[in-house]
Amino acid sequence: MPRVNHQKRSAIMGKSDVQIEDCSGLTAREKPLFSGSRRAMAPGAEGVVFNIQRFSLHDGAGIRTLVFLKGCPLRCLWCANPEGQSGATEIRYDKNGCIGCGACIDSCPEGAVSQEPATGFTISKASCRACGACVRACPSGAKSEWGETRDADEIVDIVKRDSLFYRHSGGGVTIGGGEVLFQPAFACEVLRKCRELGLNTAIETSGYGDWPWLERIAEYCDTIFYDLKIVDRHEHRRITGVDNETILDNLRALDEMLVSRGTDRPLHLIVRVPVIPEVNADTENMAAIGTFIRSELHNTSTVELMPFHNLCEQKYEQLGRPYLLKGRAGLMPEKVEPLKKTLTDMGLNCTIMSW
Amino acid sequence: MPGFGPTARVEELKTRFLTYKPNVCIERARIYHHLYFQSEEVRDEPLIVGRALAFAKLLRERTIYIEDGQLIAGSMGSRPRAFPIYPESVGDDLLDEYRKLTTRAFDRFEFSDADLMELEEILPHWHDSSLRQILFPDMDAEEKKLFLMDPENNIVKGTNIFSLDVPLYGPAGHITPDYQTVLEIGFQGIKARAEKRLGRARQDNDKNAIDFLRAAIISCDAITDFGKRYAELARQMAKEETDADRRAELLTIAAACDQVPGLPPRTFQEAIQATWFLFVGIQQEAFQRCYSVGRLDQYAYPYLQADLQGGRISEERAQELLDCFFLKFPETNYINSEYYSHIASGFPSQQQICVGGQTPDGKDATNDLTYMCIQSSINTRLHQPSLSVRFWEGSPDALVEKTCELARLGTGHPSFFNDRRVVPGLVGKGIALEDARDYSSVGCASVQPTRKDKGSQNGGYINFAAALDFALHDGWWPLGNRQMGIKTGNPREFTSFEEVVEAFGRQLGYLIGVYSRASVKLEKIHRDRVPTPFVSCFVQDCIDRGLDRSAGGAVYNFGFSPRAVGLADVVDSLTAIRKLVFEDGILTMNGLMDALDADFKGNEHVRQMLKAKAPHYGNDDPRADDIAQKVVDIYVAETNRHRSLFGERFHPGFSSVSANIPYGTVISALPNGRQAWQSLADGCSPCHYVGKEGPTAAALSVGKLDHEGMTGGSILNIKLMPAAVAGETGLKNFVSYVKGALEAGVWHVQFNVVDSEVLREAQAHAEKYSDLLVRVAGYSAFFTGLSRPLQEDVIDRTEHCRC
Repeated sequence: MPRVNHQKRSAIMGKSDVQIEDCSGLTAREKPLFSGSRRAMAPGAEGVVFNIQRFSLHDGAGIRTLVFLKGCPLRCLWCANPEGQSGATEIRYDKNGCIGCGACIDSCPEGAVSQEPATGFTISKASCRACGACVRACPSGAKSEWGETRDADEIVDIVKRDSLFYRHSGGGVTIGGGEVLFQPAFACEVLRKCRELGLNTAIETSGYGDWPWLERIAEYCDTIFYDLKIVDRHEHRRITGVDNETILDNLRALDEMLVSRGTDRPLHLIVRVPVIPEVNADTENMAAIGTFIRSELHNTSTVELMPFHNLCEQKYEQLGRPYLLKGRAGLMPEKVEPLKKTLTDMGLNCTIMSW
Repeated sequence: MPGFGPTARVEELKTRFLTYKPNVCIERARIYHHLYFQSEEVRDEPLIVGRALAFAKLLRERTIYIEDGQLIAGSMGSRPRAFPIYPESVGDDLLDEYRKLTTRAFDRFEFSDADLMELEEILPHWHDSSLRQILFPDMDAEEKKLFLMDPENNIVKGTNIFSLDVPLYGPAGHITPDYQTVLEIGFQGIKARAEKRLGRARQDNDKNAIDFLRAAIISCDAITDFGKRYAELARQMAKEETDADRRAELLTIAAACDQVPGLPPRTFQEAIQATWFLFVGIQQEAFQRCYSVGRLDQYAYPYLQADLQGGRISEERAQELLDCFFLKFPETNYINSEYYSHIASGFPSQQQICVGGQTPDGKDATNDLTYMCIQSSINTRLHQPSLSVRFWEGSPDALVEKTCELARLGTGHPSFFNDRRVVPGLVGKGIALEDARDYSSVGCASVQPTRKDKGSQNGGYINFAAALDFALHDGWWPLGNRQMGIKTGNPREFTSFEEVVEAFGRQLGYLIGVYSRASVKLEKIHRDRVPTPFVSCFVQDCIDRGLDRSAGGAVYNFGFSPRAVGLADVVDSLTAIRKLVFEDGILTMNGLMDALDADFKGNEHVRQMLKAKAPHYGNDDPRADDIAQKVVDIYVAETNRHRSLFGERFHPGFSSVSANIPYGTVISALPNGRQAWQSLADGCSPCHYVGKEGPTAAALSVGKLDHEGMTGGSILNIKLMPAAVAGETGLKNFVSYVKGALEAGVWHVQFNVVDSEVLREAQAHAEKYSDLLVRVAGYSAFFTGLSRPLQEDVIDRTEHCRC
């Protein structure tokens, strides 16, 4: 396995592991795997969802509705959905939508909101309990909640509204996040019900979770988009906050499942690689990924490269969190061609996804 | 059938077209003036015969040309993109406008000083012919007050509360006459029918019929001779032509023009040549927009099929001919007042070609020519003609795919029409099922039974938001500072949501009542002053009945119909009132009215709450969509209470063209947070910026409305990022979206597939984007030629791409 140049990366990022974990407010070590998670609950239970996006065209076949579950054990540097990391409801503050009325200051029982010259009506993370008083007081919607507890049936009701578009397009539902395996019972229940309705089902996952849950969830999926960021274990830990041993194990297990699933309603497994400049966008890492797929997976050969983009900057601001890649230019898909070639040369079926 | 791309000829004709500037041709005014004021020829003739004689004289004397390289002959004026002048219905109404044509803000024309001076001489003589001048004394005080900004002194400047609009300038637009019969029997065949019918009329001593039929016969000969003039010209040009190929083409054109439209066409080229002559003819006869060629793929197909089978033409050559035919449409042109240019900016003539759909006996109508018409739109990519494609349950997937291929080019073409809503809607209006199945699109989103409809369906606009503005001010109009609506009570004292809706409904009902009265008066004026015997020759059953179409000769005689503007603003406003005042109690009616009357000054928090804390129409949210259904039901029920001149119901609709901008300028602050005098939402589309659930939700919301009641048609504008529909997968998803939207039950849908960034760039560097087309309303226009507010409106339309 090719060695990664740690020194080079650290110099580029100018940040150490500690700061990565600091910026998240929640480290992977604090969050156990799911056998002990409070979200490992009975089917039919509620879950925390931070977004439902209809007419999505890039996460599975056809026209889809994406359901974003809140909470993720990973703390990837480039995370495009930082509002999905914490499992709890968070208050979002959109400074651009703020009319400066100050209603949020008056409404907060904790005195957590203060007016700052640079950042507007800022929420102190330390004192905020996310009670939602400021959200209710805010007239313009500049303060809003990220994360809402919802019943699986409610989610399915929304998903099925676009049924006729799924029928024409072969689309359906994709559950992402956050991390699907952070709320596995809830995810399982939503998928099961969607499946009962005959919808095409998919998940996007980091693979970091308990295998028994993933196995159950996979039973209800037509497609799994499985993130494989970096093969080197230490490097993985450094840039995501967690070890990749579980991730790789789960991926191997899923790959074997493809065979046992049979051809009646086959499971599609697609490896997704976020391509982050100066983090994992080097041919060594790509070759390592290719090698892993070729040598350890026997039924999987499709890889989608997801070039880095910076469309999420605003969300970090709205969460009041620093973003280590702030100001970095997005990666134009054509720049990723050499990496694609590395994989296709290894016999893999590789696509570069647009932003 | 494979799609053949544009040939070098087609590319060259298009490139040349882009160099033409819109211009004015005064020949028509000169010829009419001479006939009516400087000769005795029509003095003793009945009015309708005079009109026919004028038409004949015009076709006999006006300048004609055949463009280099064109395969189709015939034009509106003496030069490409020339607009003729119509003194007999417009009078001198637009004289002020003509003076500004070369300098006004947008939609400018080339116009020489000498020609303007001549018009200055001619038009004052026609002052009393202006339909507006004739209608004005007929209007009662209430009508004048509602229609005119300054009812005492100025009969031109409208209120933007509502208008009669299009029919005030001319009599015969929005019509799809019977091309098929003309192709079958030729105009000499029509003439023979008219002569036979005239014999009977003489026996019966039926004066009206005699006059009409005499006029019809004159018109039949006039159009026949018009063709022959082109035959002569083509032969002349052939003599002087040095290039052998072109000489042969000119001789073919000559042979075609000798044959049609007097006699039935023998070839596909002659069939479309005949169609073009008729299409030019109806626009020579009378000023109007929105003339339609109708179902070209149905009536011209047998000729194509015969040529192909007989080996007389290759598929590629047939495509080129059709492309040449398409390239004739943008040459035709209209002058709008600057005011109307706000409503319909970008030189739209809204000339429709309608393809696909089903046959009168309910079978799929798609054929090779259907696909070729779509291909022609792909090949020519100009603002005209407006192509419409009809879909029904039996439309082949290939048709949806081909149509989406065109739509994703971003030219704004075509409109997708949904037979599932249109056909039952027309049947509900009393139209026979086979005629309903045989409908054509006209104008923007209107439809009519092909060949049998009197035409002229767009009867102007009703400001839907005004009904709410009045309901919130007890009938007072804040901008005009006068009582406009009826007394429906002080809104501050309303104690239930139902009272608000009732006040709105009563105000709307009142507006529609006044509108209907005025529109019937205008219908009478059309009948009495500007009959159109030429087009009546090929509208069923004018000849048999011995009646002009304006006098009830057609099989179907629907009146002008109102287009309402501002649906989404009204729905979102009512939704916000229900939620914030009557459900959540966050606001009181008093507090709301204070904020509205201050145009939200000092009440920004109220405005923000109205926008942020209430559901919005267009998001597939039943909490707003139920109100949309309710107000549409009120609109339909209120229009159904009234009848046109011939006792028919109206075709109400929501196709605002771009009237949502000027109509917004007269409406004060609304409870959806829209500030005073800002634009309203277009068509039946959601308000800009609120479509957060995306295009599937928008289609589902719009599909819930009673489209069968709104047979005037409703436009849904969807803007998509090019990336969303790119590549094979993108096309597949686009096709699926369209199928889903049709199944969801939209009446019509059209797309702008262009990046906002590109539009911004085009605003900054107009010179580089002269051929950038966008969809405005039921028509496409060059983006850089649009007024700035309309450019902003197009950019703002909710853009959908989730990646």
